[in-house]
Amino acid sequence: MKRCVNSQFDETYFEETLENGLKVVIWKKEGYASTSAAFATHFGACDCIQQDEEKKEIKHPLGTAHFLEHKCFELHGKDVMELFSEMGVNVNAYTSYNETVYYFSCTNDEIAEPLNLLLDFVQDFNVSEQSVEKEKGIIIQEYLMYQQMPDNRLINEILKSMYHEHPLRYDIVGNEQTIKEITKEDLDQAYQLNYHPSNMLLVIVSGKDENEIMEVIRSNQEKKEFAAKRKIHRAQINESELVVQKEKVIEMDVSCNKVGIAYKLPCLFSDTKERMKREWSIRFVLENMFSSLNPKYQSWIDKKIISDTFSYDVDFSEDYAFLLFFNEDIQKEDFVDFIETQLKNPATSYEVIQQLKRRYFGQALRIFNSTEDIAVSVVRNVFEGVSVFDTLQILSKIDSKECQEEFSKLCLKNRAVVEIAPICENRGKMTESVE
Amino acid sequence: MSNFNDHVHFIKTDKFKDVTISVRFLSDLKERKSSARALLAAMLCDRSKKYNTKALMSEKCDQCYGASINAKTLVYGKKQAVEFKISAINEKYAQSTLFEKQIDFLKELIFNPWTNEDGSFKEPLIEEAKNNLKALIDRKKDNPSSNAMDEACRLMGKDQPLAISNLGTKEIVDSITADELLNEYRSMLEKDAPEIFVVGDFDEERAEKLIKAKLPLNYKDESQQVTYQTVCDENREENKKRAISQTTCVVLALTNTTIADEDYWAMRVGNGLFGQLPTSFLFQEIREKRSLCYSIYSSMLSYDGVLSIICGIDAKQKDQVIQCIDEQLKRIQDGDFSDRELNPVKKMMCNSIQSSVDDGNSLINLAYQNTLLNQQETLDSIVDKIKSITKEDVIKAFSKVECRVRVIIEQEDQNEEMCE
Repeated sequence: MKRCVNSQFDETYFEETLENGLKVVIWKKEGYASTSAAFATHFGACDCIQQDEEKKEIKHPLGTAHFLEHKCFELHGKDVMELFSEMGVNVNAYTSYNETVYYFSCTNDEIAEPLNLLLDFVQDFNVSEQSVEKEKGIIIQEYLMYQQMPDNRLINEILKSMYHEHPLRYDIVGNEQTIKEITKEDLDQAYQLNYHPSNMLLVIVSGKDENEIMEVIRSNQEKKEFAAKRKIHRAQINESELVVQKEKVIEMDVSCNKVGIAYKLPCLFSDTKERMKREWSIRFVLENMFSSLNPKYQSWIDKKIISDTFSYDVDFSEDYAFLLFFNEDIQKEDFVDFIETQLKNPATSYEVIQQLKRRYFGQALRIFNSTEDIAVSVVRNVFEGVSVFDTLQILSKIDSKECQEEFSKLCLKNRAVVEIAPICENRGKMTESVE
Repeated sequence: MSNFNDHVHFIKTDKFKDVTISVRFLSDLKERKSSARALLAAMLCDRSKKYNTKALMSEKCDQCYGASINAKTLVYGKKQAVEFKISAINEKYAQSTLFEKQIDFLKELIFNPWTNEDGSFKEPLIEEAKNNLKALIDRKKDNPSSNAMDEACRLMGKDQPLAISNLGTKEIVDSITADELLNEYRSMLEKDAPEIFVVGDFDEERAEKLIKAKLPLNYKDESQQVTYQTVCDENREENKKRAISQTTCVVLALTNTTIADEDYWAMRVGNGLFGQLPTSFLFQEIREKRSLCYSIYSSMLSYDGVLSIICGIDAKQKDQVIQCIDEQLKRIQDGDFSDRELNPVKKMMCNSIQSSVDDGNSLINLAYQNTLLNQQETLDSIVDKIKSITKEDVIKAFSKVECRVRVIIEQEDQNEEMCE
């Protein structure tokens, strides 16, 4: 095991890649009574079209990664949750755009048993057609639950307005139709391709001795046989620079409207560290312009140009990039004007950047309080190809000139605006008569 | 004079990267008062006399390395607490005076609000807090599950604390005057029972000296009754339709046991088996076996003697779901379960309680609970209690559970609309 120490943050972890290709990270939390473990595959909702070494394309129906996550919780016909419960351990999982993660937390004294179970249930997939059918009702209710959450719906609709081809335009779970159509064969295919140890990562955050933990993992893995390693990755998506729909209004049972403005940015296709640096630079400028650090911020609230829910985000990912702004209880046109005007006058100062660096340092340090937070960040970072500490390193080197340059490079031509509006009886009728 | 050490609680541990200080003021939960307190929390945390713009507040937080400040109200049965909380990284990672700065900042927020010369709060401060609170009330109402839960509590707790919203209504918020807010603020400092909690790695002697000097509070020794048993003698029901995609169903039951009672942990263990955990009867029977929902769980309003069940379903299947909930409750009451089913529940609850020693907020909550209930529970003593619960204890406790209220917020029938 390779030992890595970060003295600035006073944190230590160990890492090793096993013979079968499984990467293991054991994060040491001296004095902690509990352990968190996460077992993750680099396969998420956006991996709808994959490519193997021979450039052969493999397609997965929408929502496959998420459906698979649900069905993995079956081992030899038994309910995995129940098996964990018998040990007194809480287990759960989530599917994001880029990964699927299975995790549990337990007290330190009994880590071997649940850790073996975690490895065993994720590394064994054998479900019946009947069991796949039965799951559909549950997942459809999950889809409907998210559909009726206004904030969630707004984000989904914004992504749908922006992207023609990229699977971001679909809900992580798929939709009612795709959920109904998924078959056992679809799940088998996705599992075979993406749950090979060489495509997975195991993170343990614990107060317990790292060698003891490693021994459990090693002896579990040595007993198992796996197919030959197969390299698989997300196929490149040909996405237009233009948005799909510039304006959209969705009626929902809400008391006031919600508006989202998105700027679709060209992909960077650069390495992760470069992307992170640029994302941080833009974030610094946005924070400078649109947060309470701006002396004008208070007057915007007083004049009701923004509400206390006003927020913004920037995301520079591997195959997409965008800038988002949200607001509530406002005329859509006024909000668009406001954002457009502000974006024409970006501002940064040395002082504010120094101030923000301090803030982010403090916030980053506090991630190390929670074993679960550490596990989640490690998973995300390792799949991105960086270490948890790289981010802070990148952050500490950014200067105001760089921020300004990055910001001025942004192409803000491709905009999509989505409004979630309260239901208006008359409006509904009008649409009908037009049709 | 009250004993400082009875009301200022130091939770020393070197495992966290930060130090958290929480100050809580306890008063009665009453309509109007609860809204006024919610406004006060927001106002005091927004700006102060010294830091009278948001920019200055942010700058102060950033000087303390991204310290987070937070003020909110919490409900405990008949009582409501206003909490002021500040977390900042431990000074060993930054500068040696950070802990003192943290206390100074807290002092500024609590004792030096942004006021006019006559001591009244600045009008824009009030105005903004009111707007934000009203928007929050709307958002809560928009969300079908919290809407259904609020309606159910209002129905069951008529004329009792359960029916009082932590936020209030928009009408109440609008009608609260500047004088009322000032009176509430003064009453918080003078009449409320305050408690202070400090979690992290710090020097106790120094902390005591600083808190005594900078946070002079009127500690109270008399203990107050916090818990009560909600009363509801009849079955009450409400059904309404909204343009949503899923039907939300809430059932409320009286437990006739509160957190202060002997059989509380038997009830909690029973609830684990009934509907709190993913292996519970509700989750297994309604979701896993019948695929009728994605989300279903029960939880306890421990200070009010109430058990709640909430699920998101298809309107067509509501009768089947409700019947199934009743059957599962009866299973616990009839003792139709084995130790093989009960033991994992106990084990899971013990593990989760033992793990809370790794979370600063959980430690504060346990310490506060002890002061509210005048108890000396530790994580270990709670674990011992859970371990000793038998099947008979659970049956006995659950025999007191009575379902009283049902609220269903139904999705409008989409097919019907299309036929029109």
